[in-house]
Amino acid sequence: MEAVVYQIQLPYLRHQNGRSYPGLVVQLENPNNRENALDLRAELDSGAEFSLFDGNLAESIGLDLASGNPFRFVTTNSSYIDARILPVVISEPDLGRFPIGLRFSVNQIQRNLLGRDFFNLVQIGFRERHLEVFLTPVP
Amino acid sequence: MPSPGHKTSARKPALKASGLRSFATNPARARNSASLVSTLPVPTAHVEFSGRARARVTTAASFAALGTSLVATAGSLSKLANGSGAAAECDASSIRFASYRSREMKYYVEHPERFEHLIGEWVAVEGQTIIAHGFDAPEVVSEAKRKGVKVPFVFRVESKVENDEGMIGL
Repeated sequence: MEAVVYQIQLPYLRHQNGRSYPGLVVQLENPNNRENALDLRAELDSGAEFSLFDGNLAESIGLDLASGNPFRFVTTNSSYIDARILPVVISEPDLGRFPIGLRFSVNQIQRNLLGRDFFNLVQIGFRERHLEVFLTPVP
Repeated sequence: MPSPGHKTSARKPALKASGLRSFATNPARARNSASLVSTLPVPTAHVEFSGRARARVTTAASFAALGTSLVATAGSLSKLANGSGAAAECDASSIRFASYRSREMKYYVEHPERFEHLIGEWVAVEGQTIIAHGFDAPEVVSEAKRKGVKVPFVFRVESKVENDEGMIGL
């Protein structure tokens, strides 16, 4: 049986109402200017094929949202979330830096989602009963 | 207060036998590393571990003696000692248990009264201080930077979720 050794063990993030969710605080960086960066929290969503961040954040790091290639998410009730794809760098202190084409929503969304495109870059494990996330840089 | 930002760390070399000796003599490191050795899929016999909370391991031999109370198995420990296999990729010195920006997240969760009038707004939080807030994210970020924060921690204050409501990603 294959064994995985994780380097990071984190508790789920918490909402103010006491509920927890698997999340990660990451840094979002303009690939053309590392000084243009933000720290953000994002939900780890294994059901999302691609990551999706609020479009306001793209503009906050100096990117032009409208310049990105269009992309459309189809949700579980068949409604759509329109997005634009922009190159960014997502980083985390112990996981590393990941250049990625990130989808930014055209309209406001409630939460940033790290989806399976991010899961493809790192190894992630969940222990829901313990409300813990395990991570290591090697996918 | 200026943001510390963060530096990314390069991966450390794989753990060698000498490395195992060094953290096996450190109880904190030893129990941490034991709790992180996981087998996928997780057999039910392994689910009971909580090495972080209960194990006080002082030698490598004690690891094996803990048996099924820890996820670490004799096989995985052997791999660690030999520096071979997937388990050998562990670097005990880099294990981390706290979220990045955990101080700000703790402040947010423990002081809802400071945020309830900001529902729907973007906020920049540094330590236990709301540096800037407003409905325009780029403006909130600019204000935080004007106040000396190099890399602001920014999020939108979400509305309350009632007991009969649940959350879904998309």
